[in-house]
Amino acid sequence: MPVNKLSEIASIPLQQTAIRIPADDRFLPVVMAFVEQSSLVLGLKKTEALRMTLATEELLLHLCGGIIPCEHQIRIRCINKGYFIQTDFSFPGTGFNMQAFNLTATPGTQDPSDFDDMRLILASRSVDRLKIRRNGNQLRISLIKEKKYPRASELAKPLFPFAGNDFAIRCPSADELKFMAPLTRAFYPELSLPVFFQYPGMLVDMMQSGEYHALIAAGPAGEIGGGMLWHSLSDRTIEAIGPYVFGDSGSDRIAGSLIEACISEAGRTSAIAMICHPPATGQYHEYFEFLGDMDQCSAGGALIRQSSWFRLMHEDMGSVAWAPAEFEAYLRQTYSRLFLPREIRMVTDDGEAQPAHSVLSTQIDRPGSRVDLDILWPGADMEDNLQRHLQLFRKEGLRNVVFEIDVGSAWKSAAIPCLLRNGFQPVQILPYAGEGDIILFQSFPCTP
Amino acid sequence: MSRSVSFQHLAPEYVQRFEAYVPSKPDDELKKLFGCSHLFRLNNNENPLGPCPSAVQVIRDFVPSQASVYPSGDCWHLRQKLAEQHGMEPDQFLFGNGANEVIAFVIKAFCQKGDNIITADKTFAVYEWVAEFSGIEARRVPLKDYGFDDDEMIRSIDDRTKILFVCNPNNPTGTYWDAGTLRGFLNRVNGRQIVVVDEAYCEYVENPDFPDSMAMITEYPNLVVFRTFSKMHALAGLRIGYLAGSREAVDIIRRTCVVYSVNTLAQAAAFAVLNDNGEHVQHTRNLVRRQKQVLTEYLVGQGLPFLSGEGNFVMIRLPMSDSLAYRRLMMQGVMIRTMTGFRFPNWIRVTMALPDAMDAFMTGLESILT
Repeated sequence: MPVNKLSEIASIPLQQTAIRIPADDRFLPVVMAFVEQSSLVLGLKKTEALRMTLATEELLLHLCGGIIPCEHQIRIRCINKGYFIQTDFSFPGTGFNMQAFNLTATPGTQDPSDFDDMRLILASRSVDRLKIRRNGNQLRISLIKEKKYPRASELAKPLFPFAGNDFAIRCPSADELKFMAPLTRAFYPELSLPVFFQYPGMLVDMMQSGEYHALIAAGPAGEIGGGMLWHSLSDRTIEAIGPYVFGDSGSDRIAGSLIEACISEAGRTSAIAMICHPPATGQYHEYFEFLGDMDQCSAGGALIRQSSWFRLMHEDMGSVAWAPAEFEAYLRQTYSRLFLPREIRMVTDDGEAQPAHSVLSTQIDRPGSRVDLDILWPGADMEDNLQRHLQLFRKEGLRNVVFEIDVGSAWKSAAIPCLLRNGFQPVQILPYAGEGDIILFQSFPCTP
Repeated sequence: MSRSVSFQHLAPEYVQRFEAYVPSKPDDELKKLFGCSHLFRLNNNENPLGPCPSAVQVIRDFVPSQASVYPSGDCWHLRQKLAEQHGMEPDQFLFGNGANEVIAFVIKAFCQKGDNIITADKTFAVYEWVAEFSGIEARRVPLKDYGFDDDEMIRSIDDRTKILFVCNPNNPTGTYWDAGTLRGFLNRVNGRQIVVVDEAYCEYVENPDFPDSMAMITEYPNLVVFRTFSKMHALAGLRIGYLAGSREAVDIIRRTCVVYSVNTLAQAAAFAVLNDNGEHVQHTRNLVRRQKQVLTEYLVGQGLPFLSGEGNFVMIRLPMSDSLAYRRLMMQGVMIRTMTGFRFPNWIRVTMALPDAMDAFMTGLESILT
């Protein structure tokens, strides 16, 4: 069962455009024209390109409205990521009040409940995803707009489903991927599947961007018996999607072969852990360890339970986990259940001074009705800030709020008591997903 | 919240995408981490009997003042001795700080951007690593029946192929090419590429059909043989290995060879090994044979698939993640090698060791399987 090289399918070269401007709103027309034209050239349709331009306008008005000093430069970069266009705004994160990078920031108004003056949230409404990240000394805000793809028609189960044990694991061609998408929907409940299976063209572009990888189990006549995808969540974590098996014949063997090939391909990469959300009961317990379930609400209100499993790709060298006293028992119990060697160090508040204002990093996924929060900067107003964010998310109708805490970082762990007081509960641990392990906290109830 | 600095832009693209290998922590740190009071190391295929008595004596007799003097830069006496033993010339040998270093010598000597090397997909990783972080393509040919696939390796050759690496016996599967297979392969390569045969575990092979590759060098000047003192000869902590080849091949490799990289004590201990009467090798073989028998009988009883070929190790297929098995065994003071990095998910490799260590391993394994 030879496995072809993954790189063979990645054929779209990275395309990007970039400009650099002073943080001055007089450049707004230049930037809007640049973003609109770049979005069109890089592959967005007119409507999507306009929405990206609208988001850019809101964001730039926010940044240049007295937040970033005029002498600072903003670098704007539009990148074709295959199935979406990403526009990044990067600038030095020093010399101004970081508080303005909370999604809830309302410069220019004294009314903290005036959500309509929150330009960041206004920007987020026009795109699919908005991310605020800090990388060292640099801040980066990313606007992401996905390309539009036609939804595939339903496909009945094939008349002659894959049968037999004679198959090879290999990378699919674009046509095979397009065939695999509806095939997956024919065999698995739609709610349990990632949305891209509804859009075969998107699936192909995801692979060709090099961001996602796929393997199929193919019979001698080209029949597709199963498939599996994966992509990097971070430098250290890979997310596997599948395996999906199309038919009963030899399903365990196909699933096992797909998993083994996927793990083998990732085995000599930088990934330390592989996270998997397998679609149904199967033999993956042989390969993965159970992390936990997470219930989420779809944008339409349906409850989706997602099981998460993981495996380490290397021998565990151990790490440090920081815990406030009220969280120590949970960590010890979880590490013991997963046999993870960790040195737990206590986080204590010894009265040291801290900044007045906290900043939360936000990633909004509107199609998934989900917000992922992280702490960009600690501050004494953390509790108020968090509550204000939660209020905003409820108003925006975002059903799933997940807060990730990297317990490899003491100052991030220090925020855990605040989360617990505000209705968050730990639901999952992602080993080595950050500086140390990341704990996912979910806000309940998840319905608005 | 510290300011981060990046030098990524200074590194070549092939270095940027390469992930550094992280070796195991020292034993004291591991014991603390996993909460165990002892640690049986069954992960690195070390010889539990230690070096031969004459090498032990040399190590004991090491005079501290020698530490302030540079060693022989090219392992002069060792090369003389090997030449005498194999009927070759001293200039046909090059030493390195472990056999890993000589892998880099060969790749640097023969490969440039656009070239490729060919090896197996599931074998010792260092050939592939050195090639990739040097910007050279590593072509991986899938194993066939757990062994190197000679036909497919030949088919993978193109006009930019410079070196074919064969691990013989293969780590971790223990399969090997017999003399006929190696000869047939060399005939088909027909001198167009360098063929490296890594014989790190050759001293463990007792079958008479194992190739005498040193003798083949005269006939095949493109053949380069790797040997190490780390495995059978138990000098892993001193880091010493070497390569042998035709004068024509070695003359080129010498140009990329780092001299003075093998320390005085390593050279002296290796010299003692070369003069040893062979009893220690026989004792080790006996131990390995006996422990393999005990272990494989146990594995059959447990219904666990395994591969027990040549070398002082056995590969075992577990019904669980190998990295989970590693953690659970470590908590019981037993350290094995996970095989995901060798592209064998859920397999572990276990070094044959003294009975107390093997008992601890089997007890530990039983506890995690139930």
